[in-house]
Amino acid sequence: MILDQYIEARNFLVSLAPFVRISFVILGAAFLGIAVRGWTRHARALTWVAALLAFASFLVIGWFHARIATTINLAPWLGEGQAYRLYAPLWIESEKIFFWFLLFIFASLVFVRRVADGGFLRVWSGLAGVFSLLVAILDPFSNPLPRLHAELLAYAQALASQNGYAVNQLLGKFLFYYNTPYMWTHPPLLFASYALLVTALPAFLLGIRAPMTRLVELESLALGPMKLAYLFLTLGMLVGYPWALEAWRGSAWWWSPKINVSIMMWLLYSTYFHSRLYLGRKGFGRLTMLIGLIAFAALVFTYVTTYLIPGVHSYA
Amino acid sequence: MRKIGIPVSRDSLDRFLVAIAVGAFFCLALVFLGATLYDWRMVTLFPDWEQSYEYERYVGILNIIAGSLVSVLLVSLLLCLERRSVSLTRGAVAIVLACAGAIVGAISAGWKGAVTVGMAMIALFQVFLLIELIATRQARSDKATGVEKAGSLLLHCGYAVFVIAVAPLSGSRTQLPVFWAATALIVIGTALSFYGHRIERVAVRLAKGRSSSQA
Repeated sequence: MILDQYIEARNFLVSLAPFVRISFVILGAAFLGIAVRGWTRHARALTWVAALLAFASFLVIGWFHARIATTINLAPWLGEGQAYRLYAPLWIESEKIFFWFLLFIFASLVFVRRVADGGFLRVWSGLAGVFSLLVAILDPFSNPLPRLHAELLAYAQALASQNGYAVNQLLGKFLFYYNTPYMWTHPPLLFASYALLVTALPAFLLGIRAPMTRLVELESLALGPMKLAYLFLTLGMLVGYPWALEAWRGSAWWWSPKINVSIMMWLLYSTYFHSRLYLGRKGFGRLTMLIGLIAFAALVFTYVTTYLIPGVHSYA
Repeated sequence: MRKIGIPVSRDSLDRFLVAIAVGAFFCLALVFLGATLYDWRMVTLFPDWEQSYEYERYVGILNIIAGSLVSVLLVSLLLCLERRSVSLTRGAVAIVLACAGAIVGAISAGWKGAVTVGMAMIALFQVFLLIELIATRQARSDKATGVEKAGSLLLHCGYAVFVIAVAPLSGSRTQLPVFWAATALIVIGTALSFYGHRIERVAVRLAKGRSSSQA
């Protein structure tokens, strides 16, 4: 298997890493400046800058993935006419946080663009700033797809040394993990949902202490992204179900920690949608805001559980 | 105002029912949190715990707890839906019938029969209400539009079908087709209940455009 062109593309990405890091640090600092100093009138312009930067970076990542798909033949013994291609999704490993940020910025262009509430914009800018800095720290350019890279090198070595067992194992992972349609539907739907949920978060952070009229106003700002997020979350989780049946047949996978906390998060967002039916009534307003915050904490917990708690759906 | 033992206003009863649904959702979420933390602790202490007999027993207990809470949740949601769509009496009759069906199902085919018959009856009530909604062309009641109410009925019907797919039909050939049917109901229902007012607005605009072009 020839990896030269893939390695060349990967090195090109690594060469861009310092520029990407610096750009996201500057972006993060600018967003935090807006949050701290209250220059909310610049928030919209900066969101467009962030969207352009994130989209340009995403195009480069997309090009890298296209190079993986077009230059690597997983079954070189079959010849180019019957090539086995590797379609690595654009939201795995070090690209997760970046992809989440990209969708968050796009969601903000739709839902935060017309918001005039200064308090909401300040908190949103603070979140965007922290998110930008997180992308700068965990950037997908410095070490692109480290696990897949190691697997490809091991695969090339196994092919060269004619190690049939290792070839079969890795080929199975390439074809039934990276290339599976579920990998192209389940995670992006969930990331779209997570991005929208971050967009709505400022309303809950501010609403928990706000008087009732302001609380209702804030909740109306959150409702648009929350509805779309819940739709994506529900569909994303449901799409994962047949995949789980295929992958973990015979085990009690639904009580595995990552699955557990994902269901918990979905239940908490469902609680929010039922609680908000009586938002304006005594007790329900603050309860709804509190549930929104708890649900977001559950979202963060769900994300980190993958790396923290061992289980069938985890890297811990 | 209808009396159920004690005089109760429609508003306070509706709020009470929503509070039950919220409480059931929250309790179920707590069960999942507790299960996660317990699993984490046990795996840390005993790395082979998930291969042990104790783990099988633990999964069995959790299935019973979660199954009971899901049943309470679906019944409370059914009552909420019935309450918002029709009268409390019909809601109560629907629940009594669903429970009776579940008991008959349990006697004839164990827990699988109970869940299948109970959930199928809950799904059928939603379909019945949907047909009634369409037949009476009930445009608006409370704050919800007709499309929003239809969406809500479809999605709750979808969840009842989903429970049938994941529990009694687990491992059977019909599991996946039933699951995809439930998914379609849930997603279309959620979209309609969230964006029903927009859909109605577009439909009205299209109808107006058609009538003006005909004129």
